[in-house]
Amino acid sequence: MPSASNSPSLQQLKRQYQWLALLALAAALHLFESLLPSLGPWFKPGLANIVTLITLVLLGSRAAFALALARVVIGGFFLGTLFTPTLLISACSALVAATIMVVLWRFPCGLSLIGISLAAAIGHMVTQFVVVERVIIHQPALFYLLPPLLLLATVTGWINGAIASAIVTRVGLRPW
Amino acid sequence: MLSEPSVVNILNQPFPHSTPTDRGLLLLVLLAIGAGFWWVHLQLHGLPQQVRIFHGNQLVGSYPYPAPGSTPKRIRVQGDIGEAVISLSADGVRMVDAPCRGKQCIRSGLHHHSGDMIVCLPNRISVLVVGDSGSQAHLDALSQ
Repeated sequence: MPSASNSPSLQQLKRQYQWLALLALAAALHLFESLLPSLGPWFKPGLANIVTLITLVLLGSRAAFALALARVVIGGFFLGTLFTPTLLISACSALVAATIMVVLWRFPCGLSLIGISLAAAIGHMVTQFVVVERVIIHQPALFYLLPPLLLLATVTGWINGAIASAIVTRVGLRPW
Repeated sequence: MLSEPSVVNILNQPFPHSTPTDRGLLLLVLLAIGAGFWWVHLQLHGLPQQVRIFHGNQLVGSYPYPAPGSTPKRIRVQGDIGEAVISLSADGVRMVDAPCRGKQCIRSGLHHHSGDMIVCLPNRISVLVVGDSGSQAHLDALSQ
């Protein structure tokens, strides 16, 4: 039986519980997005990134990274894309987006969650294209499709950031 | 950490606003996207002239863009996971059958502008509509 000193504190348990709840929400949003009618190839609204942002504010950088990766793996498991190039694209994009969020959050430069979300959405979309071009299609002409999809990513990134910011503010997580 | 907010408190909170830096970033991003659109337009303007079909980076076939009134043509291409069928008609180019699960390539519909592209990721098939712009050599180089 573990000694009392080795057992996690109530605070740690609460954090783990919160992380798992957020992961469940992010995975559910990831799956929900796959059911939505597609606005175009490789374009999704990125609703799960709202949860990554909230996790970043609530639980910190490591938790946000872990959540971004875990929800992609869980989503891949349920969508049947595990061990396919789709998972590689999703994982790379989610990690780049999470990295951008973490860097901009830890080194504040005047951006709110809205700006952080916008930058992450752009990073996510560009990474998708780079991975697809480098690993799967090998067609630089693919980048001709990038501008309209970046425009969509800008809109959704801004909206997602506003939603995350509203949630964070309204539950009293951080005065904004 | 999370406090215990009441419904009244939640509704009374002001909606968050973007900062001037957010708006500056937005402007920068929109300018970059505008420049991207302009660059693509410069590369690909003009009437569609040719349809090129690739498997990965290998050119599988190159076909003249169908003239109005011409007989529609169906082209079968072997990809990584099976055979794809591409239709060429005067209305445009479209993927009519593909072995992938998502069928996004089929749902993307007809493509009839130069620079349009159909991509089937699982099958690694891409179809590019090439125009008569002055950047043909550049596109040829890109497509190698």
